[in-house]
Amino acid sequence: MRYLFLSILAGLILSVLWFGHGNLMGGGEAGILFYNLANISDISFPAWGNQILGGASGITSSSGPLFLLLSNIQNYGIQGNVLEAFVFFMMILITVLGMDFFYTALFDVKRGLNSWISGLFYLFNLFSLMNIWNRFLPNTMVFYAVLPLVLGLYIKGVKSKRLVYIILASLLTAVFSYGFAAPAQTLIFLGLITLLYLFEFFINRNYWLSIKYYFISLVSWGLFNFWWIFQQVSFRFSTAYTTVSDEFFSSSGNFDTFLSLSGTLGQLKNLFLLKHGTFFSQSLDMPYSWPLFYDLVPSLIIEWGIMLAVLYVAIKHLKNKSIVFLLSIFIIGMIGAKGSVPPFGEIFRFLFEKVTYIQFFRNPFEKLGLLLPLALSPLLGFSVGNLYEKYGKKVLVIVGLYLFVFLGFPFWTKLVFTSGNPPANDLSVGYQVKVPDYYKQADEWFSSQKGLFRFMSLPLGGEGIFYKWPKGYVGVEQSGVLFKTPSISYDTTISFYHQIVTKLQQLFLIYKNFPLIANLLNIRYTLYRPDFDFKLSGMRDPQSILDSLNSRYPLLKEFGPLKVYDFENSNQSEKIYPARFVVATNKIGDMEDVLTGDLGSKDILIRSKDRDNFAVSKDIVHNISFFEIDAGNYPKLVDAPDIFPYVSRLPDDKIYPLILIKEKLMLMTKTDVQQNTREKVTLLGKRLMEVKKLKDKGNLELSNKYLKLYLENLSRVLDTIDRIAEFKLPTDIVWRQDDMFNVFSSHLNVLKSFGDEEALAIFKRMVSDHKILPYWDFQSKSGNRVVYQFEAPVFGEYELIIPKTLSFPQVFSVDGIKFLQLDDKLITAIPEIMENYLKLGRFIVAKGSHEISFLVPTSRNLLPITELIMDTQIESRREIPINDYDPFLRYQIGFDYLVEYGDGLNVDLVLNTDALDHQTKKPRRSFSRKFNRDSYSSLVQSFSFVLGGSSTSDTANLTMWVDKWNNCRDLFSGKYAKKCDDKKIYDWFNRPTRIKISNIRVKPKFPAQARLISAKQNIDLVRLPEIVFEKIDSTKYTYKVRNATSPFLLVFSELFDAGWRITDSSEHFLVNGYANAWKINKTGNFQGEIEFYPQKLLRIGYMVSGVSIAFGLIQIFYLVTRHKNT
Amino acid sequence: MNFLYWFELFIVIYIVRKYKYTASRLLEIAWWGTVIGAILFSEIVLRVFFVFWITGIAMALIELRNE
Repeated sequence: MRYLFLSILAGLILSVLWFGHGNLMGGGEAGILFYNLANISDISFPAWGNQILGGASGITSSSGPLFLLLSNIQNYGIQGNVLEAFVFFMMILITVLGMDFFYTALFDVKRGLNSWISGLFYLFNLFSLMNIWNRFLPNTMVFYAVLPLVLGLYIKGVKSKRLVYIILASLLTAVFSYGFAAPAQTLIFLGLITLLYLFEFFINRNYWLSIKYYFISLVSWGLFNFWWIFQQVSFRFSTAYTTVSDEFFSSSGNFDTFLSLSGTLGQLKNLFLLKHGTFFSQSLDMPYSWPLFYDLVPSLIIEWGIMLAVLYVAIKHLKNKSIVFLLSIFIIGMIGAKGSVPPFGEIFRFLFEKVTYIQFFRNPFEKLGLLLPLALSPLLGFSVGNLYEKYGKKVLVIVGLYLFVFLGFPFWTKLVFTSGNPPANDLSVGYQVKVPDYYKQADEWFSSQKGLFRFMSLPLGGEGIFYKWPKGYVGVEQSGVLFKTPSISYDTTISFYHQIVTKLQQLFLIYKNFPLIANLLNIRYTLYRPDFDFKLSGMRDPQSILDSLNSRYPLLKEFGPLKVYDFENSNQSEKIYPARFVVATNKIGDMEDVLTGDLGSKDILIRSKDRDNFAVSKDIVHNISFFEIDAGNYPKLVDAPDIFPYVSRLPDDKIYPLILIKEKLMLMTKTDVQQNTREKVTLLGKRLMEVKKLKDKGNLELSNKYLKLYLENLSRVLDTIDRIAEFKLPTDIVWRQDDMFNVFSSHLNVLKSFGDEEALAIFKRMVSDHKILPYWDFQSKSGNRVVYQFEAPVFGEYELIIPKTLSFPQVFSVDGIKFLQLDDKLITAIPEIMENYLKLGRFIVAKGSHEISFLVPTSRNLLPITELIMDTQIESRREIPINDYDPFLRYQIGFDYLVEYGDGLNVDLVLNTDALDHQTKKPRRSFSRKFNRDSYSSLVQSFSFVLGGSSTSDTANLTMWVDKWNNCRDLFSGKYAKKCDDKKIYDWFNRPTRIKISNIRVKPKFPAQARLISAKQNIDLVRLPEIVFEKIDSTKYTYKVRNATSPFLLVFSELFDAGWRITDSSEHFLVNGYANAWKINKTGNFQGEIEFYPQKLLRIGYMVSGVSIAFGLIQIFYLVTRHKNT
Repeated sequence: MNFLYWFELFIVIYIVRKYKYTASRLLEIAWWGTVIGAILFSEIVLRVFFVFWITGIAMALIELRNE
């Protein structure tokens, strides 16, 4: 009882210390869950949540019951922070007592000092410090806390041969399913119980018992947790899952992450001490840089001392089966946590590449490192007991100081809840969060508005946000928790959603008729929010957004600094409506098509690949690739060793087969897929050089054979190049595009010299299909030309347009575009600037691939000056503003400079969004470089580079400055070097600098995006039926259709998922880049339902789990009663 | 160079079999090696003796089963 009391006391003290301030705690990926649990419950309890554009709960359904329970408690008026404090208190208690129980079950002893020390070490250790408490992921916290308790119950069940413990353990996994449901955690849990029963089977030789109990453990776990397992399995096979995993994650991406994390976190010198590789050695920006304390030499001596003592005691007790069991877990944990690092890292690496499920462990230390404290905590308790018997109380004093002072101080001082990001890097704030009241007011106002609608938050950024609230918040954007009304407030990698949101703010800024887009997304209002640090959040300056909003839309409401603007489309934006005209596009999710395609109200966008199912009124064709090429120097020959390596032996040489073997061995040593592919590209160049040399020698037969071989290899290498792109969105550029362009342009140049037209045509088709080079030769061989490749879906008349940006086409002399080259034909261009785009010409093309190229029109220099003299005695720094700066264009920046005397020239591109670097305390620049004087000659030198605008910036300056020349540090070195720290001495060596800069230019590059818009087809406009609908809940809607005179398309503006079913149709399509639509063939008046099918599965799952749990409880009751009676 | 650890593993297994080392003896070597690794703060030394940890614990399991 004494230790139970002490555990409760420790939990209470920590909870009071952590939550005594009366605020919530939150941040990072966890957010502020306890601010409004009802909103979290609404998202996680049903199979479909209405957040953002909607989404399947899938994996989060495991947390549904827990959040439903907590939200109901919160509804009784218990404040979020009190509830959070209570949950944390419980987690501390379960962490300590769970490990305490694990110890007693494993060693078959009564609770005592040893087991309690195990529990305390499990709470306070260097793994939990960083990976559990500092990471602040509630589901990981729950898993970490409950895992030893559950394992302890299984062990107790096996040892005492009482089934009641097994059932109780499985029951606990269902109660704490929130922690057990993440795939990696499920795999760890199942792995551990498998290990337990294998131990029982092989070591204790309880064959029948271990098989029986293992079976019961798995079945009871499966049945009790059936609702989320079933949901997860159905989600695993859903469209959402496959699209996300196909589009956003690739095996090669996961593999690279795995290798990189293994390298940084898999060092044994850290793993033995349970330490995160970088956290304890590089956290300079945290308050007092506190994690570095654990990397000081005295700290390392303590950490190693304790660890070695524990291992020493353990290896002296190898007759104790429990010790060997724990050592086995420890070693497995070490092997797992180090990932691909030697020794034997290649086994994990091999499994990672071959078994998909192993990819959940792509951060091996974070996931599998958890086994280390699990094994070492009981070993520490055991060792302390052992050493206490030998050395007496001084052991307890040392262990007490180690646990409570050495490991415990970040917990008592709340340093554990701080991070390197402001405001969490301030100890007085840390992870504390106080959400301003105006958010509640805004939430209530949105909820009070009639109808089903979304709002959009501006500025719009990525997942992370740095709020400037009095007790600020840094972590994942929290609109889903702050508002009941769904909103588009951040960009994240949800399929369909991401493609739309990534460009939404840009479209808002460029187009005055943005409400047409908002209409398709069911967005009625926009919420202006300025209460965050836009530079750190990587977002646009709210002021520029405010200017656009004030000039275009009426202000409807204000809540503190929040402002709500009306898009004035409340009459149009409905959740469910019949479609009018259908427009097909080959780029799903680009809402710019609404404006470039001149879509009207209730017109919809469909995918080109679905066009055969509809009467399409118009086709919008995005270019699939883009090139800007100096036509006079094309195909460019770059004679570099990584393009055309030296060829010493030709195929007619006897030792040539050995050369090939050497090449294969070289390839095998390049295990990194990127390096391997680049090497293959280089070898292609070698093959081509061999062909050339054979031709030069007159060996035509062999040269033709090897040319064929080259083309075969080329096809394979090009496929690999396609495959290794980490992200596979259609808009993605080719892997190492500039490099590949240079390589294959050089190959083309060499191939042309062969005069083999057939091989040339095959080569051109292949590289052009892979978007590396254009197919057609240029008719005019002068100037810079842009080339757009298109894939026309049908024969017909098309118009070439370039969408406008903030300063395009104004900054170009587009009248200079006189001709377009369509494939190999020249046609007259007719440039015309329209409201939303630049029109360039109209022509007829056949179905299939086409290329359009033209001479790039001249663009304006956006700098007010072109010449400058920088002199340390007159003017040493100049900021040159870039006029008409458009963040959505790329720029060619260049200048010539002559260092007349002194030091070099410094050049920075300064954007208004440049954030301060925490470590250097200087702004991070997108371009910063020093141009040193040429020590050999004093000639004018030129420099030029292309830079993409930062899409969130509003202003940009080109800053040039010079420093005085100084050679103090060159003259004083070694022990005299400090002399230069004295400013007076240093300044004696100052000499002036003077640099003449001319031809300074910042010129926009021509946009890489173009469209072909087909002429509008004559389609009769039928009278649209009237549709009335009602939302039953987030997974079910009913609708009534009146006066349907002909078949029509019914649109449902919720994120597309194959799980959505409708009563009256089975022809389900993706429309508007994200929404669902069904072809309804019925006419007249009728009614039906739209339902999310997995909700039915979830209900079945809840039923199975409920019945199983009830049965389990009865069984427990029966077994306990029987045990008592016997 | 990773094959060297495999080579080391085979050598360790060979010595264990030839000189009839016990798990306890092997783990003692592993422990002392880890002490040296810790003092030198050398990742390589720790890796070399980690092979002994793996072999030692595998042997401890075998010994327990054979008891």
